[in-house]
Amino acid sequence: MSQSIQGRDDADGLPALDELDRSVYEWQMWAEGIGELGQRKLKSASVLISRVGGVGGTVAFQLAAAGVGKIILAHAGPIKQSDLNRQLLMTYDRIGQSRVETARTRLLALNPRLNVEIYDENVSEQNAEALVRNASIVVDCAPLFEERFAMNRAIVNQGKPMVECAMYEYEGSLTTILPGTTACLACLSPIAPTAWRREFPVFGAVAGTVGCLAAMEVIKLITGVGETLSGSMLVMDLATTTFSRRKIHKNQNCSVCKDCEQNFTD
Amino acid sequence: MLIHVRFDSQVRRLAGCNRISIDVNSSTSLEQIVQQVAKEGTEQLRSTLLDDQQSLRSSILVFLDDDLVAKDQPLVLREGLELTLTTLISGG
Repeated sequence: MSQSIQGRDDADGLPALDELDRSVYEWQMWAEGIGELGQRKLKSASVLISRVGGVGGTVAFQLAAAGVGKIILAHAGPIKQSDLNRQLLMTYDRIGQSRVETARTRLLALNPRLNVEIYDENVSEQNAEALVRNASIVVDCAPLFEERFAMNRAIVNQGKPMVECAMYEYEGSLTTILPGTTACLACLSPIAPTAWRREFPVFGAVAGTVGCLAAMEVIKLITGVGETLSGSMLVMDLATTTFSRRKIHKNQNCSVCKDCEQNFTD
Repeated sequence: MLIHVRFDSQVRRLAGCNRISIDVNSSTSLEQIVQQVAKEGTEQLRSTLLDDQQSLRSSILVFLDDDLVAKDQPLVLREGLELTLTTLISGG
């Protein structure tokens, strides 16, 4: 394989792996379908994660461990005591300090060569387009539907895939949205459910399970390995340890994605 | 005929049970099924499922045997069929 001075392979534009990469990721490169090429795809990827709480923090941690090249984090505000039952990137000694700064410190402790871009703000209609522009894949872990809908519009406009993941009490749900190909968030629910409240019952283990599954969706999207949850929604109830995979469909009259022409091959 | 209606996530909390069985006939529409379910429950369940005009809210997801059903889709009802009523969740 010939490489340019910048460490990029001349043939496919993906970054090359060095000896440290090969040493750190050796065991996962043994996984079927990954190898050196899959690891280079991970190194080349840039993933935006909306919020670094119980779900998003786990997604970020797993992707940092897997060798994703760049992670963009958006989450406003300082760490609170009540975050610490689930937000595993946060630490007791940093209560009152920035969540995203803390998350960056924790991620870099695991993977010092990770490129972490942080925004001390939550996703909104005002910043969603700009945040999504810098990412190749988006992971939506926000606790408010307003943020999720803003992100959904931005990924549809820009034709970027989004892993949509959420939890409530003992339950979790997960799907992968491919704009123009699968249902978008607004196809499923054009408005926020009336019963949803900002504060919700949560165990860290439930949020973390959803986060690990979401990280695997991202890894599959990047590497092309396996089968993503595009066109289906995984619904899990960890109180009874039951999992079901439900079919979901585009709404042909969806106000957000009905004119979207992007086509994914996933 | 008897059909089963299962509840997930917040709808289950509001319903206070996992599942109920209701008696319908072959021409009962999806919206009529949900109205019948709402009658059995609390005001909070009713207002989550139905709007002020007693129409099925667009935020309610209905699955028939793990397949998402469009709100205006005619259902072919049969004895023992199971519908699931739920909403998206947003905890992160």
